[in-house]
Amino acid sequence: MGALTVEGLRAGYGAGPDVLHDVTLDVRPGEVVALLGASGSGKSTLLRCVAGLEPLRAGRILLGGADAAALPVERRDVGLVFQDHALFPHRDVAGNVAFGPRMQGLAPADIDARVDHALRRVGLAALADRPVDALSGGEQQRVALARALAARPRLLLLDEPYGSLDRPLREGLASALPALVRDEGVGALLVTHDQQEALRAADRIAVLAGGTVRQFDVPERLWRDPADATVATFLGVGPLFPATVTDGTAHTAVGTFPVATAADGPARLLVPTAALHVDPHPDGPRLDATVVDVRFAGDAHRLEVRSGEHTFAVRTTTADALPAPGGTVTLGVDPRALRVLPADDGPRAGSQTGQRAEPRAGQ
Amino acid sequence: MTGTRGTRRRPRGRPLLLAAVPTAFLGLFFLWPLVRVLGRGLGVDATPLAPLWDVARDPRTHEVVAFTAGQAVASTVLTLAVGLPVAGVLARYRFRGRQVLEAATLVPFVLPTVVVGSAFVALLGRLAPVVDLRGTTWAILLAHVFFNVSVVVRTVGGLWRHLDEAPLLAARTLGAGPLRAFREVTLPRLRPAIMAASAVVFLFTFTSFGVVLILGGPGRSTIEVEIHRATAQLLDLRTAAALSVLQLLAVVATLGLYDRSRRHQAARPLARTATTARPVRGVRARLAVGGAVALLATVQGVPLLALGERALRVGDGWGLDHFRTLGRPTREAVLSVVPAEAVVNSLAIATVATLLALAVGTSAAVTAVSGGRVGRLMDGALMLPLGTSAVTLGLGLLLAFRTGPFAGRGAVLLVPVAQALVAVPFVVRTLLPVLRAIDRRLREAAATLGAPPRRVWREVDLPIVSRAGLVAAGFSFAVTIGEFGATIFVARASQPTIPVAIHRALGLPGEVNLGRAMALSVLLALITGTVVLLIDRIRVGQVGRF
Repeated sequence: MGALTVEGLRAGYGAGPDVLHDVTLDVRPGEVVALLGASGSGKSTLLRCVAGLEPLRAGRILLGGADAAALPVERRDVGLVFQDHALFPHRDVAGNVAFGPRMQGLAPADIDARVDHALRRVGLAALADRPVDALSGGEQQRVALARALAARPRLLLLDEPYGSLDRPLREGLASALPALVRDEGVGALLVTHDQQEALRAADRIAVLAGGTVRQFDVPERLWRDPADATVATFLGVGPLFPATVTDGTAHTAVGTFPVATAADGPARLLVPTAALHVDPHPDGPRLDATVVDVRFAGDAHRLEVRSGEHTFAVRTTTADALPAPGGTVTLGVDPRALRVLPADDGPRAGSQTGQRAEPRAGQ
Repeated sequence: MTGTRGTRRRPRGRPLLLAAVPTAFLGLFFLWPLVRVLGRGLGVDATPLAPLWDVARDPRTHEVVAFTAGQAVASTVLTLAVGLPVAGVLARYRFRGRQVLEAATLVPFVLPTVVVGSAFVALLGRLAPVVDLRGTTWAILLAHVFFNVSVVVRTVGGLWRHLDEAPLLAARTLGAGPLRAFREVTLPRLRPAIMAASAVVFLFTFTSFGVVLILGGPGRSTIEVEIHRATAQLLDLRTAAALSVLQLLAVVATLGLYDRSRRHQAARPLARTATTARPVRGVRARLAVGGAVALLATVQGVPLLALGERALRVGDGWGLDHFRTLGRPTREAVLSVVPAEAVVNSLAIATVATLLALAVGTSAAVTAVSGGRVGRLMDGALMLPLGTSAVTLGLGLLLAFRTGPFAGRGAVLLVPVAQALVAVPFVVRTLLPVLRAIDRRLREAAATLGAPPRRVWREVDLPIVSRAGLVAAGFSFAVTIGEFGATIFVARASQPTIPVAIHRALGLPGEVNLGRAMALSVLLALITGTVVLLIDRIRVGQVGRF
């Protein structure tokens, strides 16, 4: 029984057009699902629908297997963590965290125990008596998380919870989320527009674009087999070249590449940057590019190169044979990584493949 | 299609039920009296428009209207001249005592008009040997500046303090001198606040009553004073009502003009930081701060000192004699009660009026933010009492309740009602922004944590609003205990409030009566001043943050 199941959800504001159409996904207990999408893709709307803060136009929301349609927001057992935390300004840290348990009518001793446990989970036990506006942004975020946890929800809803924080803090907090969620046995739906944050926190990622889930899968598969050009572009997998496929070969303006299984016809060829390496004499297919810039990136060099219409980055560790800006470079391509994607994906084109949620490999 | 209940939908009955309280109160005690004034003034029951026509033709009216408008314009210009430099210094510089000074500017604004009248009577009496301004227009103008400087300081200073300094610095790097940069960059951005402050000061001085009644002489009378004269001296309610209509028209026209000018103003970006004030460094900064402090001390401090001095001066010496006489009955029969009784009366009436104003104002404000058609209607309706002068309110109550349950002995109840009417807009204006500013997400957070709608109100809205409620209560009390314009129409001779007793004492001859008026004024000033300083502390400490 899943912590959350969303089926064919359609929603919008007032009399306006649908912000979400036909959204289907699920969250299992102990799992973090990231809802990844650009701003305006409908991520937050979906979260608000699940919380019961927005009405549905169609579809179903199941919480712990039961239809939530009849449940008002206060009886849904979901913990919502807002981007700017929405802490109660008139209560101290402990007072904020105790809110949920108090609403459940627990005995004072039990409330204290819950507060203590939740604050310890987020590492803020020492700050229990502080006023919330005396805390840093990161601490406020952790209080918001503790407040949601202390109510023992079956589902955590996190709406860009790290959005207002500095990068290192954001990454640290995102990395801590999976263990927390697993230990507490709750499911978590994390809204974010940041691929790195999704990768750090999520067991599965749903890519949302144009109000619909384009693809819902484990991160490895998303990057390896993006469902369409929109997903590939948003994830930043690599350049996409217009191509024509005939007899297992993709013909593009930058060369021909073997694509054994693809059907004939117009298409787009995805060349993942991870499949590229600097090699003057590659064994397999090759891609010639112009070097735009060369930068040292700590553990490797980062070459910004242009090929056809695309500018993209390639990493190389062969520091002794670095090309100069303005020169050309030959890139070897791992043919197994190449993907042929539909030539055109309209707003709906990806939805068929996108909503087939596949079970996580190895679980 | 499946529907889900959202928190945005509130229980249906609540806004209507809440709206009933202010609707009933304002309907009975504001709208109905106003209708009576309009009916009488427009001659609905006799020859239509005859009263208004008669008044409009009377040369005396022309004089009064010209004086009313003229002194209002002059007062506004003078107030801006004093207030703008002070606002700039308070906004731009950080120095010790700035907050105290800021709080002090607020005190005259909330001082009852009769106290200001008394203070200037004392001051002008003291100055008389050097320059005799008694009974001149200057007396009125100076008192108006004293009163309204804080409007300019607060309104303009509030914006000034939050103006981003970057554009000013950009203008300087582009070659503008300090004055030029001020004129080209700062002044245009302050315009909305200056316009707003001017409109408010103009309205206040245009409808000025107590100050003019006490300080003005023959030929120096505003429409408000004329309404009172027609009612109390000539017993001519028809003329009084017609003058009220005239007054309402003028006020509505002014508000309309102001609203139109405001609509053209676009929102301007403000600095992110709460303040751009800097410490006082250099001769010019010292001169500016010193000058502003001296100006404020002269305009606002000296009249108060004169009042205190006059209250304590006994013959050639000093003493508390004037205060002691407050407990003794007067020899003259005109002031029919022991002055100390007026103090007790006032405290009791102001308390009742404050509770009334809080009940009506809070339910009105909550209704106004609840949205929906009822809420929007209420929001608009609440602006009405703001545009109605206290004198018109008083006259209306007099006209509407000369017979019925509030006549005779029941008239005791009309005094707190009249005062509450004056205080309700203060309550609403204090609570509305706080209610509006409560982050919707706080309510949503409480709801997702398991709080049903009613509990959300109790746990989130109430605690946040209650502090503002304290401020509103304080303002109400300060306003009601000093209320004069409406009270003087409905207060019974046997139960005067402090302001009414002061006015009577000032009108009587003799050192004893003058001394009593001064002593009572000092008492009243101390009461309101204390309340306002307390409020200001709450504000700075907590409420200001929301």
